[in-house]
Amino acid sequence: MTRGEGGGWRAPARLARREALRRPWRTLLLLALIGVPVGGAVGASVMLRTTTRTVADERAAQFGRADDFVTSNGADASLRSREQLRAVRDAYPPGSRFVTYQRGPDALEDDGGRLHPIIVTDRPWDEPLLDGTAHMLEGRAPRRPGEAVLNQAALDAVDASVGDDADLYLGGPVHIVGEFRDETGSGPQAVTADPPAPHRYREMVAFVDIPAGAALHPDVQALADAGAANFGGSDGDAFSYVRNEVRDRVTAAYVLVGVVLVVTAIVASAAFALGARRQLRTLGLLSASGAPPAALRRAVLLQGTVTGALASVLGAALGLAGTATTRPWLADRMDRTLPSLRVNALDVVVPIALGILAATAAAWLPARSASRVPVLAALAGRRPAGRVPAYIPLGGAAAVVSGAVVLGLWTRLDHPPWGIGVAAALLVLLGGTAFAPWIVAHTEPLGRRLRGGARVAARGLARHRLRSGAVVAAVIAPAGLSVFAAASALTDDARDRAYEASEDADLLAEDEVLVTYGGAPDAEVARALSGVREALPGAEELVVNVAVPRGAVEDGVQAGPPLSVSISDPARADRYGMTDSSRYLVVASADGLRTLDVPEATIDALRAGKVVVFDLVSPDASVTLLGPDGTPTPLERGDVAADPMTRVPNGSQVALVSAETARRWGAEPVEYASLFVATDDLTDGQVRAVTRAVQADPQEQLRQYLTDPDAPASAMYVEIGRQIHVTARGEGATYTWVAAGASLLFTLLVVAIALALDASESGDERALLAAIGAPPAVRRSIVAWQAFLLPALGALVAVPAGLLVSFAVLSDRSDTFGPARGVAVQVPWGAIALLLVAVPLATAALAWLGAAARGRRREDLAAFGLAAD
Amino acid sequence: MNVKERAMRAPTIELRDVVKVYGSGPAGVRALDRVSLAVAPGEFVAISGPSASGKSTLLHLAGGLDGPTSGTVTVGGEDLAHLRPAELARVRRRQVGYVFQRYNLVASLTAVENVMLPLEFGGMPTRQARGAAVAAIERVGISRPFDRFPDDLSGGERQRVAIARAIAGDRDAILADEPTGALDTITGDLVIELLAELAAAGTSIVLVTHEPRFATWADRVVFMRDGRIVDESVAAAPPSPPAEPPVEVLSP
Repeated sequence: MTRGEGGGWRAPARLARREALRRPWRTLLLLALIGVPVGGAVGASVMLRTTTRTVADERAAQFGRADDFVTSNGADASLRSREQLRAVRDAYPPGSRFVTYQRGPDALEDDGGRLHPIIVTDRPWDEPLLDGTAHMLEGRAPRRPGEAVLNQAALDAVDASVGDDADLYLGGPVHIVGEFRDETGSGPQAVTADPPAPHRYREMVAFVDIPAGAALHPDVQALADAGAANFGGSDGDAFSYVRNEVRDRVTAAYVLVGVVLVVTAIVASAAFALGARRQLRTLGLLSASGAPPAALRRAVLLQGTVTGALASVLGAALGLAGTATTRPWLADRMDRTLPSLRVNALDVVVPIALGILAATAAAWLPARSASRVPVLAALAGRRPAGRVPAYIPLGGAAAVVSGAVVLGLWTRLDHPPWGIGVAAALLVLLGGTAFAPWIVAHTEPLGRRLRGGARVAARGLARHRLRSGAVVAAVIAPAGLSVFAAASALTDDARDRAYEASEDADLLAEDEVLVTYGGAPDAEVARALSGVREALPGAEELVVNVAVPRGAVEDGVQAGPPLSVSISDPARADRYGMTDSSRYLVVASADGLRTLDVPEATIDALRAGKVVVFDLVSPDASVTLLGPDGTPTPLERGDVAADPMTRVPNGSQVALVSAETARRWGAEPVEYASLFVATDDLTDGQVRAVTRAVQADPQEQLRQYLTDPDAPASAMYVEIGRQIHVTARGEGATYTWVAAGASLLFTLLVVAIALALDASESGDERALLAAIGAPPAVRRSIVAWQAFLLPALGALVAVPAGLLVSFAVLSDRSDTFGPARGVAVQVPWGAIALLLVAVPLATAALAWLGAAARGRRREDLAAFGLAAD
Repeated sequence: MNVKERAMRAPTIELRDVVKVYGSGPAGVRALDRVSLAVAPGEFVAISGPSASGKSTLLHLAGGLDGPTSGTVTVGGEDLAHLRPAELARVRRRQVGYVFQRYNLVASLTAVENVMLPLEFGGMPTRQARGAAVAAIERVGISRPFDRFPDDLSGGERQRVAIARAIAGDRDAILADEPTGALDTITGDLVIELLAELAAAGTSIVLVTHEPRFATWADRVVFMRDGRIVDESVAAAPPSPPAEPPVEVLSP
């Protein structure tokens, strides 16, 4: 053969292009199948990059252009006054420039007189050092006293907009001249031209511009260590969490894109195979005209490449357009100013390349087998249908099992490389699809046992094994994923519930109320406690004292944190996923403990000077007493007595000591809370009465906070046994359910598209039936039976494959704790029933209706070749 | 060139003791039974006979579309049994053109693109292939424009395009399987006349036909029945049917 013979790529490319244009409906379905995931991948990657803050973004949001940001540390404010600021200023290198403003709490008052907490500042708007920390969205900056700009949360709180007037509880009336966005995403805020109204928590905020190369004074580091200062960019690790987040999210996106495109390739491959029979005549003709086998392969292969390229480019463009369109909406939802689209070339090129690769690979198998069909068989449009070789289902089974085993081992690795996971998942998916021709071939003996339309349908599926097998293969991959996703969701859910149920045992009992007030009860607390007593007549009342270091007790009132013990117990890892726990020391008396029905052995241990812990403590545990400043003092394991049988309020968070032991350790008992133990479980009425008694009017509390310098900074806190519920579903499980739902929807979409393609390819058979006099009811019955059998056969393979992977992966319980470890893998019976019964029934019903709606005339036309291709 | 002169030259296509059996065992069908046939360069051979007599099978074997169960088929001196698929494709591309009963044009390609196909498969540059294709189309008498799709052509035009595809590239032989079966009488006559002209120009023609009047155009008529050649005649005059039993195609 001379050089250039074989036709190169020109003729196959032309043929591929023309074939795609000639059957627009089929081409459109293929474009959608490939373009949608590619577009989604591009959109998701670009959106992830655009919405994920980089280190520079994070730095700009928090520090603007400043090198450092200095603020007070809660109650120990170091910047209350300009005098304090001067002291801080002296700690910085000479030449440092400070931009300061004030901020303080206030409240917006709505038309009904209701107060809404707000932070008010007088930040400057024209200071370049603060660029990036806030953005004006509408209107202008406040210039004159009495003008303010509010952020969205503040505007929403009082249902106001730019141009309205608003009332600040402390600051008085203001005219809203603009809306701004604070990039740190904090709550309702207002910026005024004048300083915030005086309040005991008003503080100075300083942004510092440090001369380049200047060495930081040790005092600055001391400020940082105390939490009063942050270093914007001088500390290389300051924003390492941002870098990790970007990396993790982009990696997760690529893994997701990879798996979706693999499934897409399988589905698209089935779609190409669906049209292969019709193409056989063309291929036979090309072969008879002298096209070598390589040219035939190219002709089909290029259809995949051309379609894939078109779909991928269109999908990517749509993905980018969708991202650009939704960006402002997302910025609103996230309450952040998003940068213009960040398009990394790889985020576009990789999904497009994967899309083209997937479509080309999808066309490869049909191309390869079509090129091997004898010329005459191809010209007649038929393909020799021999027996399915035994190695195909056996190989498929081996691939599924080995893929599942690899996945099972992979999930048990500490740092599993994601490439291996994707490869193993691919093995399972491809192995599952290998079953398609085998299971379709078995509809032939099934057909012999059926009657009427079902018989014709089953025999038809077996006869057109290539086409039927393609539809079944298209269903297997997403349906298998659905089974796995549903099993994951159910198992996660069951394990969450089991864990939370075990936690419930540690929480308050149904007959207990704990009122904490942190210090000796003042008049308001006394009134509340009295109200509780009235609501719970006959209840035992136990005052809970904590062991507070003597230096932290002022006039009998707690002025610092109590003593605590830290227990490091390797055995706790099994139940709680962590080894260390810290508990405040509660001073207990023998009488009080008897009220709680604590065993005498525990009371004896307390008397013996031991720390009593209401939990299991293993012999390997180490116990440390933590002093007022966190100074650790090791205790002997024998100094701790474990009492896991007694129910106590928040039992896992406190440890008991006797008053004598507390004093020996330099602490004094200080009143902290009151525990009420009712004679019976609380009734709904009692719960309401207790709630009324202990919950002060939040509005009144806010007014006191804003205006009364002596008002308590924090309110009472009450735990009522009846009010504590086990969370219905963990957040992780919710995400898994979303994934399960999405994969089920994808399965339905694939079933619909595959059946639509199948229907478009089998029109001549229906026409033939019409031509030989089959009544419409029979024809509809055949169509409906085929629409039932195809997804059902796919589900028959997908369900066991999905379950196998589920058991291999989910039986790993290394990241489950406590009773959750005892929960076996849950079988998703609902999803299985849906895939095996509901989906096939629904598709059968739709096919029946569709066949009925098409009407007789069109089929008759097709029978005479007038409407057929 | 007369019959004797042609017989002196090496045959373009030669079948020797060819047997073709479809299926196997008791269910096997013997479509060709020890058939031998040689077609000389420029010879116009018509093959006639009743249905299922093996005419199309013979044509398929001669064109390398199928292989014999036994015996040899040579084209241009090459034994097709020894050729790999790509080499068989080369034979179909350069030596033997095939014309089908139902045109068999690629519906998504225009008339000229259909004719260009074998030329491009042969490595001819697109521009040159288009020129050769246009020449072939003009030779079969199709009027412009040539960029019409098969759906826009009449049945006669489609068959002429098919013939143009078969002759494009100056092949040695054209195998035509009932090329007039789907055409009206006048158009059918024109197609056969065209084939005769090609034969006169040196192209070997093998025509399978049921129509006795078309056989009169041939240099030689071969009668087949039950997979065997039962008679051959030189068509100086209309061929006579075999003695017993009467051939269906020649019955009034």
